[in-house]
Amino acid sequence: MTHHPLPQPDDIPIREKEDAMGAYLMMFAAVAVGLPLPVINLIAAVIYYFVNRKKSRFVHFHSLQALLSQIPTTLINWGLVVWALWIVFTDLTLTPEFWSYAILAAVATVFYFVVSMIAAYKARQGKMYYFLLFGKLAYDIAYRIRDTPQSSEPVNKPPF
Amino acid sequence: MRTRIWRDLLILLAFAAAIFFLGYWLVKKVDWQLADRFELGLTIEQEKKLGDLMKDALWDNFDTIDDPTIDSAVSVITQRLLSALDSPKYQYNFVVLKRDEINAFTIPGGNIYIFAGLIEESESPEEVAAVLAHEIGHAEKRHVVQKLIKEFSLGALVAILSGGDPSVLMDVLQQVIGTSFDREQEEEADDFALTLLEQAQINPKNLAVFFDRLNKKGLSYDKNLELIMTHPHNDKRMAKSRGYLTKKDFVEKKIELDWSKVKGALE
Amino acid sequence: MTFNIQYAERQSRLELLLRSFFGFLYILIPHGFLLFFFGLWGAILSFISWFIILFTGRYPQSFFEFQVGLARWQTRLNARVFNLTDGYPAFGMTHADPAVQVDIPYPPSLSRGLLLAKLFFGWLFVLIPHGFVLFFLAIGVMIASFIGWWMILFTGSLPRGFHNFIVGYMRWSQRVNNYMGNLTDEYPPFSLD
Repeated sequence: MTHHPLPQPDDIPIREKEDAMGAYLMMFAAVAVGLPLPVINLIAAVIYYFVNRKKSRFVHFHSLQALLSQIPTTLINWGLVVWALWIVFTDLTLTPEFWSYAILAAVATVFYFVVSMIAAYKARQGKMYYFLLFGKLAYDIAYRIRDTPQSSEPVNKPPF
Repeated sequence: MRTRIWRDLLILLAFAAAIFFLGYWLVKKVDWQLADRFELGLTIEQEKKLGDLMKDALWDNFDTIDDPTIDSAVSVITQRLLSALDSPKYQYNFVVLKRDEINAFTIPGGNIYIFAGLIEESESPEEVAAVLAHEIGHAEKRHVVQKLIKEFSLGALVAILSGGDPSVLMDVLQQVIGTSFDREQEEEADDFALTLLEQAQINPKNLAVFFDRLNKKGLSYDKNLELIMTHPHNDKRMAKSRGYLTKKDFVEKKIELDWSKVKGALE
Repeated sequence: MTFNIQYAERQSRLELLLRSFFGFLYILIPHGFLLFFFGLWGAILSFISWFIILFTGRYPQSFFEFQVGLARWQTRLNARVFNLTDGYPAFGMTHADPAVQVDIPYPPSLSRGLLLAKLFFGWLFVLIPHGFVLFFLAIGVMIASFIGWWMILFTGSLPRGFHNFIVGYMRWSQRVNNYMGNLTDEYPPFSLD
């Protein structure tokens, strides 16, 4: 057996369900703080992950999935901000490439938002919900059975 | 499981690429007239400066006609038009070029050039006024700048303003004279011209009359008319001009010029 | 809510002076620095919890416990700032200070209607009435604090009445914050106790 068994919704205490839901809501951290910078969402997601991963595998899975999916979204939005600043301060050419990238960023953000809200809802119900790519990665990391190292020889020995 | 992760990654990337190219197609195909929508275009001052640079290039490449009869005739026609224009964006300059082409074109900054062939081909000053009204329309609606920003980037135009590199300037000039405006711009200039002509008490039908005649002559695809073909005046647009209904109190006032004498001065 | 700061029968004059002259450096800066970041996280959690209450009718328990820990920490710090008790305030969310006791009971469910009412009218039916009174109480607290400082210097302890008054003010403010922060649905009473 390579992975721990998955808990079913009834087995999961409500506390864990709420914690799992909270992970997907970290994308609003930037709004909460008041600075519209994409990187704040990422930092909040990272902090949430490290605070919550020890709690249970279910919470670990959802926090990790939220974090992993937040990374490319933040990168795309950050790229847009940088490109826009570049245009404002040097080039002044609004090329079609810029607009199509902006459209991509907008679509990606909306898609991420919708999918995260669905995931938050499912997590609150105690269900597993797998994103494309990130779901599999998060499941593997959160539920993989890791060998505990068995050492027969004691590491610490007295000096004499 | 490894392979499934890679497959998922490829699917995500494929989606991203699809959206990007869809967006690209959307942006390129639809003319959003970005230069107008966002205030990152050239200012009127910058446009005038660009026009001045191009005027110098034009002086070098074309001969102008400096005949007093023609000059005063053009002046009479343009005065009639300009007095009917409320708050023009530019101080308009009209120059007659010694060429047989039946054409007129606008360069940035409100400089309008008339080929002698246009005057030759017309049968009344009202017809010339109609064509000039159309060119003024292109200028007032800043079509020339729009066209230039679409072909050359804004950065390149600003570079010309600071450097004035002659070879690039010739490219730009060629672009301005040689290529046509798009259909939307032509219709906008037409509408502007029809209104302006009415306000100037010139019969707006003159626009259609003139191009109708040219169209008929175009069947022989004369070399002279080649340039005029870049200003496609299709039937729909001529019908619009012919069918234009002037207001009830419209009183046509003929332009007082001895037109045969003016045309004679071209020899 | 339990909000108690144990009355200090005797206070060290040395600590008082040390705190008054150098407290900014060795108490406020370290605690302030950390509380800034924890407070920011608390603000994020509070913002998100508003929406969670709107949709589920519950304040998520671990978020709630975070806010309580934060309140406890701040009260611990304030107890030293107002010279109510001696000793260096401990860091962290989970430390239990014997002198400072702050406990907010976890509400199993919260009213969504009240949540919206607080958003749109909170300024009217909470902040104005309580704010008005608390403003004058704050002036009283400043006076009491000032006089109290001298009393501790000369007599070695803060008069019980002053202590109760200042703690009462802190308790009242905490209750208003709890109500507006959606930690409870109980309207804060106009009382120092």
